[in-house]
Amino acid sequence: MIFLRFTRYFLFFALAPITLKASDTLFIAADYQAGSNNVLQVFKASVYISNLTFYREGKIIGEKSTPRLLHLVDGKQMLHVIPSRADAFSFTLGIDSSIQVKGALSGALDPVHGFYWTWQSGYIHSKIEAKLQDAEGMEKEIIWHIGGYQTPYNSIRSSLLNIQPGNANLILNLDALFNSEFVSKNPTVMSPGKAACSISDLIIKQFSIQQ
Amino acid sequence: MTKLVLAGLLIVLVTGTNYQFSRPEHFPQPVYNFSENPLSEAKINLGRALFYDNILSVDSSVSCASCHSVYNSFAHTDHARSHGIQDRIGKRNAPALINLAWQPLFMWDGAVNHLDVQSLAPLTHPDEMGNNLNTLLARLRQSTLYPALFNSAYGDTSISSERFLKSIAQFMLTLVSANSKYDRVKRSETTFSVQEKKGYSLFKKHCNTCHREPLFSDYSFRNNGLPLNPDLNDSGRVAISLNPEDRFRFKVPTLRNLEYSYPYMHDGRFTRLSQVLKHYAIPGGNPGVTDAALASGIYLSDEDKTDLIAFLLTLNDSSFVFNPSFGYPFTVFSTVKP
Repeated sequence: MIFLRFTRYFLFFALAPITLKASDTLFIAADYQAGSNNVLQVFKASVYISNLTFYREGKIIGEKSTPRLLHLVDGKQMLHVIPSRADAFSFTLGIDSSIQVKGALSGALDPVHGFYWTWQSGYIHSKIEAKLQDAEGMEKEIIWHIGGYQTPYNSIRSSLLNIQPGNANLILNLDALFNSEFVSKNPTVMSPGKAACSISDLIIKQFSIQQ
Repeated sequence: MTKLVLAGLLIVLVTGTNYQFSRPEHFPQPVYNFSENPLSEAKINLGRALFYDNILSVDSSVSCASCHSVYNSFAHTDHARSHGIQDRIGKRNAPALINLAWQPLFMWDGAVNHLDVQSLAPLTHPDEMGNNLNTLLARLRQSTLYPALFNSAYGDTSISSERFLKSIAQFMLTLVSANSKYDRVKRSETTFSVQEKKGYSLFKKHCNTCHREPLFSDYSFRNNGLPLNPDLNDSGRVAISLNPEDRFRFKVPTLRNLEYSYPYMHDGRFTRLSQVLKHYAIPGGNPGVTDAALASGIYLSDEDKTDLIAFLLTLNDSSFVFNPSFGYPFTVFSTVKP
């Protein structure tokens, strides 16, 4: 337990040297510290990211709308090449409702990935499963399968973040998520609704840029 | 490993032959977008083989057709609620699978938003087929039958979930029922009897708001006042929409092929049309009803009920339930499990 409490694990690697070239890359990773903040183990931290859009002085200079399914416990992954002199980018956590009503899809949207609900149409956009420990030392499991695209419980969220020249890491801070008071009240959420929307609000706020 | 031995197959393998979906002239435009899943004979035949194959269920015991029999207009007669693997009973009645190209939402509560993904629900439900997509795809790839059928349908032997789902959807899209006496009257090929004509007038007065012609459903979700079965505790569409107003609302079913598709209601509680009419024909309204269309109740004399049923029986389409294109596709079919 002491080992777990004081050993830090990062799922992202050291940042690449900053360059001013057009080949600067946007990566995505999760950040958590096993043993700290009572996180014993993270089993899953997977998200759908879509509608990547890069801006310079408020104007769109590059975009890729295709959804991608990213398993963040697998380590840092490349999201996209950053267009030259981009100063900001936005992305969507989830899949647009116009895609969710299109029926059987393939690639990243293939239901074989286990992110498509079968009892109710729609994609899970965030799967976060972890084992935590509360202040009394009791273990507790978190299972969040978050989705839902229909009003009023549309859980799809977007974020706009500034970037500097150089490689950039889009970091999902799981520690902050797990420290939320919401966790103890909603350890298992696996269907669309109010709780899923609140968790989506939490998740989208925990994305930040590290450079 | 399951080895499928097929001594004969009625399926005609015609790669790339398009299938022309023809809309009955008195029907509206379908809601299904055929441009995203263009029909072909080979894909329909593949979908039909899948629909009738027990390989879809986890223990290879039931197929789609187990609960959706062509002779029952693809419903499940004599079972209020169908049994899946290991005789497990679900909580709802198996609906008739007809005229699906015109349905915007599927399942009694509208949980499924597209015909292509409808099959995922029974495939994975623990009380129905209890399977999962990856297991099924692996089985299909290892079978002696399906690589060839996928090759015929798609030009190569790759078996994907998209191809699997769209092929079953293609077969279901062909299940168009539009040749009942009612349809023939609409096409001026025959006429209603005096009793049927009276029943038709009653239908238009009392039923057509929800069971709208010519599909005999407006595919809305309504509370028709059925008391809750406490054993099932099924609250209907609210479980999907999370809108309290949808509590006890279920999809309005089509009335076509009623005689073949009993029992009736979302939980199959009524076995006869007379029971259904008795439920609705409560002067002053059924106390459990929340739907405005039924709020003031329906008055039907005994004669009215007889006339109305006479009309409803004109919605039976015998050419549909005996259509050889919709039936069991294999002439001899056996499984060998070494």
